[in-house]
Amino acid sequence: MFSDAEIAIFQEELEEKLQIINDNILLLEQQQVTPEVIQEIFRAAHTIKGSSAIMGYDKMTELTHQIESLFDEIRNNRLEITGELVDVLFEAMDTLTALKEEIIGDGTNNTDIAPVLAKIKQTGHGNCDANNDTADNQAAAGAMHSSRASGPDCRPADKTPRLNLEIDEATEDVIREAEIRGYFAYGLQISIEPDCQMKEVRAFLLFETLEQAGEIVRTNPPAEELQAGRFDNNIAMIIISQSDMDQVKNLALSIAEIKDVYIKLIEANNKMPLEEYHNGESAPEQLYALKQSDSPVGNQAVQGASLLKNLSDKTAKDKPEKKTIKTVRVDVEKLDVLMNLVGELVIDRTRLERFVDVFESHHGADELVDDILEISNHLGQVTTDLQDEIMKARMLPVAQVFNRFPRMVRDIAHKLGKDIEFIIDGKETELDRNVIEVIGDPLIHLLRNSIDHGIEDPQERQRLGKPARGLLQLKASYVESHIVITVKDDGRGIDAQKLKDKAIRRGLISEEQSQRMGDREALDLIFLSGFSTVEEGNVSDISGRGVGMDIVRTQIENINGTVEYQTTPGQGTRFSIKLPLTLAIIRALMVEHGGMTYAFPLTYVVETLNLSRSDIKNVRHSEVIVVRGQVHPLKRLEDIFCLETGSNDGRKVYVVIVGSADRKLGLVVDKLIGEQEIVIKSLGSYLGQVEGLSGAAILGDGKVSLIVDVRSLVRSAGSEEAFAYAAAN
Amino acid sequence: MAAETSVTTDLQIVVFSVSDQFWGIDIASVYEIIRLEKITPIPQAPAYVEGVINIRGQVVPAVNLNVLFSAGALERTDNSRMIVVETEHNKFALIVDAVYEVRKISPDMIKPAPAAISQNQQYLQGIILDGEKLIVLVNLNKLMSKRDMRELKDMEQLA
Repeated sequence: MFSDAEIAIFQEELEEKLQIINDNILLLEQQQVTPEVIQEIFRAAHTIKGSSAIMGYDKMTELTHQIESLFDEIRNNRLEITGELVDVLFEAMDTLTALKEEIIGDGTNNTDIAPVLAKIKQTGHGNCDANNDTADNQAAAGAMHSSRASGPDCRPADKTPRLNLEIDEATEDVIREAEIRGYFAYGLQISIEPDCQMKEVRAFLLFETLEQAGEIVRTNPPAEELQAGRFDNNIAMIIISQSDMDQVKNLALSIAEIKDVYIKLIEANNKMPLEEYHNGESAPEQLYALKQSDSPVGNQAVQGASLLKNLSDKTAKDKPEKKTIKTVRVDVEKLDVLMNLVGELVIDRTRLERFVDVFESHHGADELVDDILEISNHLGQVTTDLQDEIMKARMLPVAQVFNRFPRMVRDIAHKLGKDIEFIIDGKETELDRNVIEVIGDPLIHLLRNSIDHGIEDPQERQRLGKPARGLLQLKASYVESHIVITVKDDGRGIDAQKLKDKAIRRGLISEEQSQRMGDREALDLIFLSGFSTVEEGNVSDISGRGVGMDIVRTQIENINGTVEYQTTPGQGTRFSIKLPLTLAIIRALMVEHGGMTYAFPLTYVVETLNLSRSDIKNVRHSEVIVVRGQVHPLKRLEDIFCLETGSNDGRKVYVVIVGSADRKLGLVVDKLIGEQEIVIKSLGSYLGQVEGLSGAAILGDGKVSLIVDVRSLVRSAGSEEAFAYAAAN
Repeated sequence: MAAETSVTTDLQIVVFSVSDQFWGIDIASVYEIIRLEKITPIPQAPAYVEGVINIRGQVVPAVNLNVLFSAGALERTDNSRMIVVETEHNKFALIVDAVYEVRKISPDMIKPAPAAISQNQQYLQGIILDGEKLIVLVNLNKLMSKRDMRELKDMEQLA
């Protein structure tokens, strides 16, 4: 049996490879048929086939084997990519996914692979297996032919004698293994200037130099002979590398007194000799030497296989753009613990800074003070770096989530008979993994909405003078210390009046309320719970699954994000989700009020003002202030929190203007303390959600400060004050 | 029987006083005992939750047992302490009038609480007769569970 860890690795690899196949099939569908795409699918299928066979998942092995064979056909230009083929491939993917679920899930074994196998066989004309070898040979011959024709240094056979290099099974295994891992195997024919002194030194240099690019798995003559200088100016070798052909060739040519280098790509299954023209005299004995399985060269080949891992390190240095990242799998919980510990450290750092201030004011400047100042600064630096690094360790590219969407969009569009171009940008944008886990569902909902309600069907679009193919864009990007994810379509947009009518019909708002509503507020109706824009009786099985925009907003707001949107009837809608990079540590504005310290997340702080009492106006029993011509409702923390304090009777008051979306609110405070980094702590499950608070933070002096939930304050204030606002104007 | 001897192993309880009454809790659920700290009040929290305090980086609610046991007024003295306890799911700081000792109690000293008083107060695990002293043994999990708290609160309001 396999250990849990091994199974976990298998599953993770499986997931990754399935994603690769899925992505590349989508590319095929978009008619982006390139050798890379085919190769990627082939490789991924091959890997799954291998590992599932080891694990004993026979059905998966069988299915991937068929997929692999199919792509082998395609690779050899013997099968064309058609819509039908893509459909079959998607079906095969679904079956593979079902098989994966079986493995991960309860161990049921119900998935029937026979139908999809039959389809694959039919598509591939049932000849996938039979012709494998010949097909490969043809391809290899073709490749050889073209590379010879294009190689400028290629010389006629009669001038430079060539060596023969037969690929035995051990070498072939190495090559195949390398191919799967994304390496190339090259055969090289190198000739040294005839009048070269000390050929063995050249040979040694050649080895040294070429090993920068990869691993030499075989040579002819064998390495021993080369070292002893017992060869006649020609060396043949096989090297496995990630570099491209020209790079390897140029490396070899960079050595003095190398006269000529001929290089070609070797593919696995290619059992043909490297060179067809033989060197009449020396070939037989050299061939003999190579075929001896216990010869040094043979051993070298086997050793080569085990060296493949080292190889990746080596080539990583040479070719940064293709580097393999060394990774360690870490339990997410451990990262969370680390993050908490760093949080503690941040608190201590703040405490130390305070202490240094006090110490300095007590003792004035002396050596001790300087020392402690230095320690404090250094500690601060280290903590900041540590915090950054751990934060980064928790980051994942949004591709994790985004990669699921192309297939989903395709399926929904097909189902609804819509033609949609789906563009994804900024896949590499990184987000805290906790955030990533949450954004999937809301995004699925927004995308579905766009396809279902937003983008019209092709006929309607043409009637409206729009291109038949709708455009749906998903984009992630950094904006200051935030990530903004937008979902944008060029569909019909949202009609405020229709929303109002719908809301009235549903009894969510009254007629009177609707008349007082501006367009902006009407649009916000989509966030009302129980609201759906689908016409009654027109709920497709895509939308109307009970996840409303209200849920979307709640989910996003739970991770301190905001949802906003713009819409133009007839032209489309754009939703923007603004998210913090990380959840645990935020910058906050600290204020004092009634002897207590409160923290306002800086994201929501618009500005701070120092107003005189007379600037506060009363509108219908509520206080408002006017800032640059805009009326903002004013609130006092003691009213919100039912405290008895609010001592400040001076003529000046401090006001923090906070805002979320389009709404702003002024909050009166006694004193502004300043900006600070705080670690968000929950109030614990016992207290649960406390209205108006989003958590607590521990301050430098060990006291607990409350984090004000600006969002909910603004929202509750906004709805009450909106009418007062309207009345005031 | 051997099994029974192990059951009779002494229980260690922390004895403290609230409203002139001795109470005991199993030491296994006590995290630490500290002097009163600065408490940050939480708006709209139940009356017996005075606020939250910082216990080594964790934000923990501070519960005033005086209020919880409906004794009302509380006087802070030098003897006042917080007992930080951990129940199944949460950490709490219990504000008590004074902490006396850790006592070893053999199980046979624990008498069931009279049915008449334990009916609505399931947190009463038993009563310990310790010479002249009566110590009420408290089941913390019951005491601090939300449901019971709500019941207590309702009773409080009815009273």
